[in-house]
Parts: sequence; C-alpha cells; structure tokens
Amino acid sequence: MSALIKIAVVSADLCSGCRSCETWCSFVLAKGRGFRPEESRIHIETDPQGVLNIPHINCLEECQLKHEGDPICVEMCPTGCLIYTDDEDLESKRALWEQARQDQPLFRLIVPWKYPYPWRPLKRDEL
Amino acid sequence: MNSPQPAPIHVFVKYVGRIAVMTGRVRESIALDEPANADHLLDVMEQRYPGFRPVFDPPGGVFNLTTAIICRRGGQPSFSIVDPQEPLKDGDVLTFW
Amino acid sequence: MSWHGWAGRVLRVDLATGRISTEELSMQKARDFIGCRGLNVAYLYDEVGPEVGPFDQGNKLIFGAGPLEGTPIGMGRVSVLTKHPNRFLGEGGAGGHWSAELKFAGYDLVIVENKAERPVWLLIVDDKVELRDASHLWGRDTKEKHAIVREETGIAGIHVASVGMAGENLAANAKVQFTLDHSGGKGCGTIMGDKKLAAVAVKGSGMVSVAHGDRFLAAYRNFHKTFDLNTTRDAFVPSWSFNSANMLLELFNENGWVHAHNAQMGLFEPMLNDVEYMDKYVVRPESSFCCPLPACGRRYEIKEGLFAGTTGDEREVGFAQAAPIVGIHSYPHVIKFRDMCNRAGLDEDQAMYSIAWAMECYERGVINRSDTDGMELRFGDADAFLTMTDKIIRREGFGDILALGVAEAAKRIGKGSERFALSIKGKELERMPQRNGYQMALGLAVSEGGPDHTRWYPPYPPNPKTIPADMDLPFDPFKAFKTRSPDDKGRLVRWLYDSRAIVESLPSCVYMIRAMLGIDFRPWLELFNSCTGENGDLDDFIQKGTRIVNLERAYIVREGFRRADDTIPRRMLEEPVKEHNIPPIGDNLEIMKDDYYQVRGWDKETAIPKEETLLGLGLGNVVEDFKRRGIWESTEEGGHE
Ligand code: SF4
Ligand code: SF4
Ligand code: SF4
Repeated sequence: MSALIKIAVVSADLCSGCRSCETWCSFVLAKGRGFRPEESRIHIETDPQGVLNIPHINCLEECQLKHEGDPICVEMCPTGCLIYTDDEDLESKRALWEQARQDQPLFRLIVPWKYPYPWRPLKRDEL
Repeated sequence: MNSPQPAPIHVFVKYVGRIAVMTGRVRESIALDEPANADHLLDVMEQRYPGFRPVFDPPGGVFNLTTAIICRRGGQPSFSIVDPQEPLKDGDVLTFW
Repeated sequence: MSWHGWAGRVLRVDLATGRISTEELSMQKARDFIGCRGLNVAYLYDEVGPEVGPFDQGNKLIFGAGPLEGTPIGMGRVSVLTKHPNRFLGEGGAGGHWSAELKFAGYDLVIVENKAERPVWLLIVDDKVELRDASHLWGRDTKEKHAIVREETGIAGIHVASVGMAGENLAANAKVQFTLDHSGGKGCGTIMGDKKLAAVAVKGSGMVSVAHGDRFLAAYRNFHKTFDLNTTRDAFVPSWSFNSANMLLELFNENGWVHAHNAQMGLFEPMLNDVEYMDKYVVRPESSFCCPLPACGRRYEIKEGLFAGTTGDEREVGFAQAAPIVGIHSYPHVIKFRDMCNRAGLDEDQAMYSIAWAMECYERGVINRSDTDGMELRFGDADAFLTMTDKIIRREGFGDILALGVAEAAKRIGKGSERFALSIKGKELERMPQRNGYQMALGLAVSEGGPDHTRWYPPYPPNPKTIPADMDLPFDPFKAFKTRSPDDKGRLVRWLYDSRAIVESLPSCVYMIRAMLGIDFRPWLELFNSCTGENGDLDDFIQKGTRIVNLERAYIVREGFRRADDTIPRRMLEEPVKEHNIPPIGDNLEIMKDDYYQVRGWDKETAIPKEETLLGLGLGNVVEDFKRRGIWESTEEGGHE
C-alpha cells in the first residue's frame, strides 16, 4: 500500500457528468483567464448509450493546482465521486459507500461522508 | 366511570425529502397524551430518531426557521407550525420537511 | 474590442437560402439586456414585428446563451424564443450542456430565419457551421435524432437540440428537446417543426474568457457555500439536492395546491411518494453543466414489470403531478408519460391538462364516445391517459383536437367546456396553484410568456424572519409573503419578475436564486461584473431586469395583448378548494393587477407601459415604435384566448 496521496474516482456510478471538475481544472490551468474544459487534465467521457459518465484523470501525480486543501476538481465535485487520498483510504471508503447505497437509496447520488445529516436505512417493507 | 388517565390522541405524520432519509420511513401514526403540542411530538421523534429534534429546534436557534411542519386539520387551510407550544388535535396530519 | 463573458458573436442561419453568417454582437444590446432570455427578446423585438404571423417565413427562432454561460454559473441554461402560435412570447429555458457548448464554440446567440423546403439539421463545431439534409432524421424521436447525429459526426460529447413528432406535427405548444431530456420553449418546437429544422447540434472547444479571475473565483466560492449541505440555511437545499421537485408532491398536496382531477379537488390520496420513486427508479446522478447540487438531476430506469426498460433523465419530477391531475396512482405510467413527451417534444402540461379537461368533459357528459374515438375517458384510467397522449403526438382522431391546445379544443367543443379549460393566454397551466398563493396567481396572470413559474420563482416564499436585517427590500416581506391576501403583491411580483429576468439572462438556473434566499442580488452582481469586466452598481443591475420585462411587455402589447389577457382560469377565480376550505380568488386578482400596473408605471386600463416608464429605462426605440403604430391611441381590448 502506497501512502501517496492522489486523486481518484470512487465509482463512475457516482459521476453526474456535471463537468465541474473539467471546467474548474481548466480555469486554474489558465490562471483564471477563463474556462475551457477542452484543456483540462480531467475529462468526462459519456459512453455511446449515454448511460454512464466516466472520469478520465490525466494527472495521476499529486495535483499541482491545489489552493488550500483539496485540488479544485475535488473541491467542486458535488457528489463526492472524486476523492483526494491514498489507496488504503480509498478502498475503505469504497466499501463504506457500497454498503451505504444498499441501505439508503440516497447514497446512489452522493457519498455518505459528504452527507452531513443523520440518516437511517430505508425500511423498504413500509413503502 | 371516566378514567383519570389522559386520553391518547393520534396524529398522522409524513416525512418528506431529507427528513425521510433521517427516519428511514415516510409515514406513521403517533399516539400522544392529551393535551399535546408540537414540542411533545418532537420529544417522541427525538426518542425514536436521535438527532431529529435539533434539526427542527436547534439549540440556541429559532424553532422551525429553516425547516417546516405543515399541519392539516379537519378540512381547514393548512398552516405552518411556528410555535413549539402549538396545540395538536386528534387526526392532525403533520408533514415534516 | 475584446469581450469577456460574452463571446461577442451572433450566428445567423437562413433556412430558405442556406446562407450562414456571423456578426458582431451589439455591445449596447449586451449591456442593456445581458444575454440569453434578455438578449433574445431584444433581437426578436427588432426583427419580428406584429405584421409577421407565427407561421410566416418571417418568424424567427432564437437560441440564446448568456455572458456567464460556459462558466460554472451558467448551468448549461439556454433560452429559446419565438413568436408563439398564440402570438405571445414562446419562451422557455432548458438546462443540460447545449448552451455551454455553444459558448465554447464562440457564439452568444443563434438566430434561425425563414423556412427550409425539406428537413435540414444544423451542425456547429466551433467555426465550422453547416446545414445538412435531415430526411433520415425527420419522423424519428428526439433520442434517436441525438443518437444518429452523434454517430454521423463521431463526436461523443456533442449536444443536440431537436424537435420531436409533436413539433413536426405542429402541436400547439411543442418544446425543443435537448440532450439528457432537458426541454423548453413552449411553442418553439412547433415553429422549429414548421421551419423544418430537425436538430441543432453543438460542440465547442474554445474558451469563455473571464475579466477578473480571482474575483470571480472568490464570488463563486461564496455562492457555492450557500448550497453546501453543511452550511445552507435554506430548507429546500438538502431536500431538493436529492429529490428535486418530487419532494413537492406531498407539500403541494398538504397545502391544497394539487390540481387533482383537473383542479376540481385540492387533495389527492394516496399521493405518489418521492422516496418510493427514489428507491425503485433512480439509478444515479445526472446533472446539468456544473450544477452544484449533487443530484437534482437523476437518471431513472424502470427495471422490471410494466414498461420495463424505460429510462431517461429528469430533474423535475414535478411531472409526477400529472398523476393527481388525471387521477392516477401509478409511477410506471407517469414515467412512461414523461418518456413519451420527451421523445415527441410534446409539452407535458399541454398533454396533462388537455386530457384532464377531456376527462372532465366526458364525466360531465359534454363529450361522449362518439367524440373520443370510442374510448371511455375517465379520471383514474392510466391506460387511457397514455393512449390519448399517443394520439396527441400522432394527431390521430380526438388527439388531433387536443393537439390544438386545451383552449382551442374547448372553443371547438363549446357547450360550456371553456369553463374548465385551464389555460392562460391560450397556454395550459403548469401545475402552479393560485387560490392559496396570491403571488402565484398574479405572477401567472401577468406573464408575457404564458404560465411560467420561473419568471417569478419561487412558489414558496422564504420565512420572512430569515431575511438579513441589512437587506433593503422594495416590499414588506411580512405583508407580501402572506399567501391568501392581496396585500403588497404588486411590489413583490414586480421585484420577483425583474430579478428573475436577470438570473435567466446571465443565465443561471432559477433554482440557484435560493442561494441568497432569492432576495440578495449583490452576489450575482459581483459574479456578473467580475466575469464580464463591467462595473455597474446594484441599481443599474436590477434595472436591466426591469428593462427586459418592459420590453417583453412591449412585445406582447404590440401583438394586441391588453389587461383583459392578464388573467387566470375561471375555476381559480370562482370555485373554492373544498378539501382545504380555501375560497376562490374572486376580485382579489383585479385588485392585485391594479397594484402591479401602478408600481410598474403601466397604464391601469390597458396594461401598456407609459411613455415615461419606457424612456426612463432607455427604451426610446420602443417609444418611437409605439408612436408610429399608434399603440397608445388604439382602443384594442385584447381578448386573446
Ligand atoms: S487533480 Fe488538479 S490537475 Fe488533476 S484534474 Fe484535478 S485540478 Fe486538474
Ligand atoms: S465533478 Fe464529479 S460528478 Fe461532476 S463530472 Fe466531475 S467527477 Fe463527475
Ligand atoms: S438545480 Fe436542477 S434544474 Fe437547476 S441546474 Fe441543477 S440540475 Fe438543473
């Protein structure tokens, strides 16, 4: 296990295709002169059927564009699809998310550690 | 003859949006002792779903400022409960969101 | 001259001659009307006068992005505008990514002129713009059109605006359908179909320039924080983030807002449940360009049972409110309904309100099986609802009449059925209550674009106690936010209209107004100024919104709309919501209109803006135009259905 901190995708299932990551990365790369997703170091591919958004990251080394804390793509990612951490933490978070999304359908849409309110598993038999 | 025990009333509650995520269910019927008010209902909620009360009644904050409880009663126009002492009546439908 | 924010270019496409040209955006117009919704009407006012009929060659179809589109504030919002078949402003906003791509390709506006002889589609890839033959696209549904365009161009990330069968068949309020099931522009699909423009596909690779990057980033972070689940003060944000408009199902019901059985009832039980929807049908998030909410937009899928395999994207499951309107309790049916409308570019509201009207007519014996192609058409019949929707799309049998829109259909059927045709200016309602939300009644009545809640969003005013003390508001929130009183609604609705016109012109999604409780516009001003390099103050900024609304009003005045046209359905004026004991609106609407026209500086008798009002907003060109046409002298009384 490497302790190297890097940017990673928790799961493509969490990617809303919003392109906040692309758009903001390009802004910082251009030193704030404008937005140009084409030039970003991350790209969101939509598969031909349009049923999945797949983030492709071209900066597997530590992000050079950090301000305070997270790289801007992670800061602006609304669902928590992108994460900035080491491999070990990534694996444990993935497991946490897998379980959470079984228990509570809300977590098909966001990672549980970004959800600040109390939550309980959904009682499906009562619906 | 008449029992000295206070009669229970039943209110029907619905949970919407994020509140349903907090409870894990979307509706239930709750029995309360008469006379009942919104504060009593929150006591029951807090017992069943720890963490519920502060969302609607934040410590040191204003009751129901950024949340709402809609009360529908006997075919009258619904209203939002803004006072924790608001009396509750048997058959009220209360929607938390 | 260098542009920041704005691309500075307008693309013109003449379908009759095939001529494609670009021209410099008018700097004056951009400053006065911002972009998107505002700039669109500025161009339409100058170029499509009252002598041009909606189906004439001369009518135009305008797609507008705005200066902040392509930045993360833009949310991919596009505004589409044309002269509606009923002659008011056929305008609508839609999200997705299309508009952002248009900006990256380097255009603020696309103006489509004249009609093609045979179906064509328009491809825009940066500077490469061409019209192509669309015979293979015509007659296909909007998703097929997207797939074919994507394959033909080999561009995976291409975004497509297209017209479906409802538009091709000239249904009254057909929409333009964008990729990922975004849609908008009631009547724009109709005119797009009339012009035989099958699709407009866009992909861009350029930059949207920002004047002051550091300031913009700081302003954005400020804005973003208000949607942060950890810090938001707005109850709507966390619920809306995941359940979008679906959370409103119960709220509408509990408040007596639903239009159950064509608004004969204000309570519908059991109401479809938002959590059940989430659990059974939502599969993953799917958002508009840079939307900061985790999942207002979701991908749904019916995995098993009835209509299995139906899948698509939605943000506004408000369409589930079709269920009470036609009286059904089945998610698979409303999901299928949504999918049919999206594929056909059929306006859901047109379909649901005209079918509900037909159901009421049927139950009251106004129409019978001989009118309905032998069908029983009763509230609660989910299959009949879908069958009739399909007939509207194909303009088959009775569907051919409903395709005209509910107002026109009621005129044809007569026998008092006009009374329960729920429409405003001839366009069906859009599920917004009125009898217990007087600001909504007024907002809907005075709209220049037919019923459209985005013009005065939100239906739910914030709790007045949450408003910061240093906010200097042009109305009294403690009076204006009282829902069943006409008090102070004129000033409130004026403020809502003017400020929302700004947000829709920057553009951004009106939902984002929640960021500052919908009342603080200083943050929007800073976003606008830091992006474009402009340096106007707040008064100047708000005045742009006032100017946009006045020009929109001037447009429909020139088309003959008057005070009498600013109204709501009779049912809302005359019948109570029995289940909640809420009285009809009665005279209160006219009282609020007096108030509204007065605070607008419009003539009370006619609803025509006064000369000094227009001059004060720098709309001298409109004054000249009105004088030339004798608008202020005319005695026209409106009466557009
Ligand atoms: S980690 Fe840094 S360089 Fe890589 S995509 Fe994110 S912002 Fe861009
Ligand atoms: S910001 Fe996150 S959710 Fe949005 S496209 Fe990028 S990875 Fe996907
Ligand atoms: S809030 Fe919803 S409607 Fe608005 S931009 Fe985001 S996804 Fe689209």
